[in-house]
Amino acid sequence: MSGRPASQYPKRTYANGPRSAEMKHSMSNDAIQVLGVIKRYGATTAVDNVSFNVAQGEFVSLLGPSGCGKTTTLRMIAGFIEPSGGVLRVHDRDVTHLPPNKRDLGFVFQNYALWPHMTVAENVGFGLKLRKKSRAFIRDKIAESLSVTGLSGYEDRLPRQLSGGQQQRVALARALALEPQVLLMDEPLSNLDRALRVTMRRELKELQARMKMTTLYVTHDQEEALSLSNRVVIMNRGKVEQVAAPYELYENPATSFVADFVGVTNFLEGTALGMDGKSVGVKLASGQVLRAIAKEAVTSGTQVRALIRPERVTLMTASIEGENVLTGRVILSEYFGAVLRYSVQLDSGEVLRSEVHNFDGFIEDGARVWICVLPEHLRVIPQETAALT
Amino acid sequence: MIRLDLGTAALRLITLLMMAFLVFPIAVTLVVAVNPREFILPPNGFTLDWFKAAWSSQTFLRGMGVSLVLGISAAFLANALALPAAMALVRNNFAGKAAINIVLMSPLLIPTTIFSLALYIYFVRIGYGSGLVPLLVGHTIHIMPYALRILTASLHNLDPSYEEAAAIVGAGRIRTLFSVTLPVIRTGLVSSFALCFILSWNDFPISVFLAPPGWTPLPVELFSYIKFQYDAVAAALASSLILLSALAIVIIDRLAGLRRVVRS
Repeated sequence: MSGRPASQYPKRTYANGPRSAEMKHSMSNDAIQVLGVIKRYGATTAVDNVSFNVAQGEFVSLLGPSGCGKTTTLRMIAGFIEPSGGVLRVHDRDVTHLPPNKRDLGFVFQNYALWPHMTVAENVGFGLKLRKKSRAFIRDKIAESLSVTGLSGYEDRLPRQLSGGQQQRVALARALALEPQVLLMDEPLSNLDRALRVTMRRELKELQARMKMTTLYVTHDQEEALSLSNRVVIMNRGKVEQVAAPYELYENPATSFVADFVGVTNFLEGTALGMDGKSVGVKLASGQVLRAIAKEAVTSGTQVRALIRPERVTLMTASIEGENVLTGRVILSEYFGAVLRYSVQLDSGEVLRSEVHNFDGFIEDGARVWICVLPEHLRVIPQETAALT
Repeated sequence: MIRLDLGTAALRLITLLMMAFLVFPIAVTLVVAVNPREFILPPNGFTLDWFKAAWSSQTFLRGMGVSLVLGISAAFLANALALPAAMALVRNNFAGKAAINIVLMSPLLIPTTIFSLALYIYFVRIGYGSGLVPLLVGHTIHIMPYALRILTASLHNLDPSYEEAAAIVGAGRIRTLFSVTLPVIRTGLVSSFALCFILSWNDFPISVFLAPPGWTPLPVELFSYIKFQYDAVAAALASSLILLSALAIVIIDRLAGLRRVVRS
């Protein structure tokens, strides 16, 4: 499955041509358009027909495991890698074959890539000097960019005299000084230690919100992607799995891969029964039928997976009756302070993970439990997409 | 235990002997150069007369000037040619890359005398014979493989994101080369230039074949002198050159770190 971008972002066709100013305005709403982009290396396809857009002022993350093609996609947008096919547009300008220096983009590298022979001020001012700005302008702009990233007073330091976090701030200041149309970031926080990463993440979010800078951000860290982004593009094996807001991604994963990659998920395999609106019956191997919700139509009789998040698996120690009740035994309980995690082996054999708050009491290993699964917490995904994982 | 100690002692002895073996000719040259009794050892005093004579000889001074100009020009030319070659070899994969690399390194494989003779015959055939251009070309070809080795190593260690960062803020290729690439690899460039200069400065066979009359580099001048004269002036001159080379090595070491030069 190559995501839904084709239907989600239809090619704009204007029957009467773009006439009004309003229409032109709507055209520039997308800061970045990635249209069916492909990158092949010999026989392997690193990026396979990837499409998505980034709206003006939006923060979008490319999230996926290493080798999924997210960095390659970003580097193609920057112009460091030539695509094998597809079209790249920045503010409605076709940049597919432009060299990087003609694209007017900002880029923050994973390893910062500060020029070691230049001071902080020279690093930040280099692009402005190339644009033949006046000395006073450059000086002011350097000061402004460094103050925005909290590095005023470091103008005359060399990169090697700075800590990793400070270097990353310089790299950000260097990109911001040019007021690029779009800011591209390639795992900018991954070389920092965890505490600093969290601080920088918050600052980045604040800064982006304040400057309304269109940002495309590559990361393999789902926490970063979910907390920073307006929307997330999930990639796997060179393809887009899903493009959605963080909440949608977590609550309504389109594929098993997304469900598994973002957060922790329980899978229950079964056969789909008839649909009733969005409600669908799933017949498990044990013969039990669960009511669940399907986002898209499922054909009766096909193999499906029903997904449920661990925090939706509520355990009860007293017997309950009714629809959607599963029974099992706690085989492992783990105490983490605020939360408790249980592994429950169902009578039918599957193991479900459950996460509950500590104020719900503690259940001993081996205890018999009843689980009531609400249909709206049980999401059905067709098996053929599940086959990907 | 005894065996181990013996082994260690033997290793130390061999190391010392090897070092003595390497340093001995240099030491003798230095001693002869300050010995008032010409070539009679042991020395019976200390004199700088031979140095004075060497450094007041118009022939030697002129030879030194020729070697200096030649060394600097050849080192400059060799690096200017080797840099684009090194960039192409490091950054791209193309058909015949290995073959091109071998061709570029081939001056190292051919004995310099044979190479010089061949070059001389070639220049005679195309109507030049010996001359300033053939001399410069000969030196440049001879030292280019060294420049290529050092620059290739430097470029291998250069993080490509430095250049990408320059491109994304708007720098074209030429601007990136001069503002980012060259400054970042400058230790490699300095090392390469210095090594090339020393190789050209010390070269004898190429200069013998290709130097035109009136443009004799110092090593050839020195050789002609030794052939006909038998005094310590030559030793003094040789000592001067040794000391200058040592000085150059100290400077490279301070500037770039000798370990880097040797490793590449």
